[in-house]
Amino acid sequence: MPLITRTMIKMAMVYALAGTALSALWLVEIAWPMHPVLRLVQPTALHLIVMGWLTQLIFGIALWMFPPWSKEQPRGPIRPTWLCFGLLNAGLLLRLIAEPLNRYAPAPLLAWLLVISAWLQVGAIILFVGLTWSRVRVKGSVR
Amino acid sequence: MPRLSCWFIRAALLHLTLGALFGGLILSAKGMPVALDWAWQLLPAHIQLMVGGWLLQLTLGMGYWILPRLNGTGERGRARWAWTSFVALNGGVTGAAGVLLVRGAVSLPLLNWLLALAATAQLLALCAFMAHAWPRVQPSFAKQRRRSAERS
Repeated sequence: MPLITRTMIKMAMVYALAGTALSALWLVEIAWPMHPVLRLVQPTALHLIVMGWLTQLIFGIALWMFPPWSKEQPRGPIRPTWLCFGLLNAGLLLRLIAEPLNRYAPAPLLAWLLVISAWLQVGAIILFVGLTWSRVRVKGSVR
Repeated sequence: MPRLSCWFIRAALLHLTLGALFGGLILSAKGMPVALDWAWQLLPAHIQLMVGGWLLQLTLGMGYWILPRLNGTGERGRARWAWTSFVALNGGVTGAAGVLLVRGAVSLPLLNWLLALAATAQLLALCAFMAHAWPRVQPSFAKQRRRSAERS
């Protein structure tokens, strides 16, 4: 299993844990109010699970198991795959910080961090689609 | 990778791209609520594209590729059901996403019927894929051969 895949899968597991923990805190907050910011974390928790866990896990496995890019570079160019990893995780971490805080106490800096986080994630996805598109092919066909 | 899996996975990547663009606009609207207030109308379509078009479609495409074959000749069996599933899922998801986008601006009874049709197509897609894949969920062919050899 290549390093990028291992890193993505381990990071995905961290997001699964973080998303589930945040979701659990949101549920507990409903029963026993602790802090008002916990009422606002549900969309963040959902996206940590869908993007951080499911989508990142798929990205990691796809980079590993899809038909090879070429004989010399079976998994395609390395730097863009790491860039994809960096953009996705930077976007998710920014979202984790900025989204609940901006809902609790809106501030221009937090608002801009949210916008940046959105487009970092979109950038990661466009990069991933570009990297894998030509690897999705029938056995024996040439890229 | 079989041809149908290529279609499923490439369609899933297209849905992911469009769904993520919608999601990017919605998340940006949380930071710029006045300028991007309209982006909230994309939310139902965003959910359709990401859940049905991306996650569900990718799993069906991968399932068609990697589930055990039916026999030693490598047959996957009931390929028409799987193709039906691909057509119905994409018709259902793009149809639902399209109607949900238009519905914010236009109110027509026809749109409700189209939405019901899209939902039915998505259900049909899942039923068709199950009809294809059910017999393939079994011990691998090599394991079956080993077992029958042990018995005889």
